[in-house]
Amino acid sequence: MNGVYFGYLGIGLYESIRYGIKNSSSFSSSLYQMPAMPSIENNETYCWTASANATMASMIRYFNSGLTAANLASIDSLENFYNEKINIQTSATDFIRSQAFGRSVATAIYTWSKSDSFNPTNTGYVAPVFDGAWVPTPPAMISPPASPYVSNARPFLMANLTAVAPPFPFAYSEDTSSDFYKMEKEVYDVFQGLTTEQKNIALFWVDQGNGLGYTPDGHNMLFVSQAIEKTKVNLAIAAEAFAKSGIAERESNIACFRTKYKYNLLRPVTYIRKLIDPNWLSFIPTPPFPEYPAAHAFVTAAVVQAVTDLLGDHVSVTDHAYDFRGWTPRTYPSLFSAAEEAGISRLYGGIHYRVSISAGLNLGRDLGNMIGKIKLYDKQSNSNPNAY
Amino acid sequence: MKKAFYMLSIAAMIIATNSCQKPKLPQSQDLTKQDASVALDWYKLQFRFLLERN
Repeated sequence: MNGVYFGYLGIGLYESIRYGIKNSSSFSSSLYQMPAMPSIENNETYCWTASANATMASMIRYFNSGLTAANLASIDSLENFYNEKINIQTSATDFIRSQAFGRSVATAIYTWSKSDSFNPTNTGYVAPVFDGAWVPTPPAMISPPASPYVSNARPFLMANLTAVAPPFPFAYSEDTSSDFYKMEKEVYDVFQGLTTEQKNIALFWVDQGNGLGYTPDGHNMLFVSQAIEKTKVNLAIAAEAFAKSGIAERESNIACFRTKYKYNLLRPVTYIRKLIDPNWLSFIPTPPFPEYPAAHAFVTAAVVQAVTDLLGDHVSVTDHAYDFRGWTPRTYPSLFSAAEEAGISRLYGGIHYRVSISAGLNLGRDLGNMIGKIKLYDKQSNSNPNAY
Repeated sequence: MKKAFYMLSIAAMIIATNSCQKPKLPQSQDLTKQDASVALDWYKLQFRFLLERN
């Protein structure tokens, strides 16, 4: 499953239980080209845990193509675990009705997703050439750059159909007294003085995927999941949080990559090798696409900001993403502080400029706020002491 | 006899209200009292797949 599909997963989860929330509305009244979702039968009883269980099992089967037999068995096993728990408390007819509703939501979501024009390839893309333009970066020299067509994907927000960030603030220059040169020199100087803690931060957020760790999208959603677990919010709040963070993940990727390919700014390694140190390599691998704005900062900021009203910003969360490597988990005093660390990790890694990280954090915060404000129901009439 | 009838009625009411929903009240499974474990467990499985396959 590509990480940008977390939006569909979260929306499906919310839609599977939303009739259990007083006076709630569907995301279909807020999101761009989202079709009407299945309705429940009037005056019939439903078990929302059963519908959520059925929706999640079905969506995970739909969105993960090529699963191994062992992974398919894991899905069956988890689905059966909850079904057995639910069956003790629920009549057979209510259970079957709830399960059928959940499956119909999953099918509706998956059908909708198939028309979203998401294209992760780079086939046929030709990078523009100009002073300061992105070029393939060492050591891998991958070309064409990755994900040039992501911005063509259908967004969840109509406002994000064409949104582009403001231009990069500094004009390209090789003059040693220019802002551009000073910005590049900062990346080089930070690299020369990297502390152990800064290296640990850079590595913790490297998120290179490819069987070596989480993708950035996976890491962000794992962080939200840990925040949901920490805050012990109820199923209604958790479903909304998973939905909004997943929406933010996709929207910020679309907006960020649209901007990257509009301005096509070169990476630090290109400039530094040309003008400062011909043998220099960044501390972590330079991703194969343009620099501005910083995607880790943009996307992580959007994701955490989208759930800040639901979970509270001043929630301390410990991130166990890389426990499996034996790495020390990292603790953040607030949700947004994790985004700030994800952002600055790219300066420590030598792959982003400070100004691009700041821009990414600001853009992500604004986008996350927009998503967080989508009103689905009146929180006062569905009050939960754990969440508010 | 009357007392036994009342006891049986109360027991039936308790069983009905403890199931997922009461008839004719589609929101009666109170989601504000429902923990998020079903959602969290499914996401944990999805993260595992993502880590194995990406």
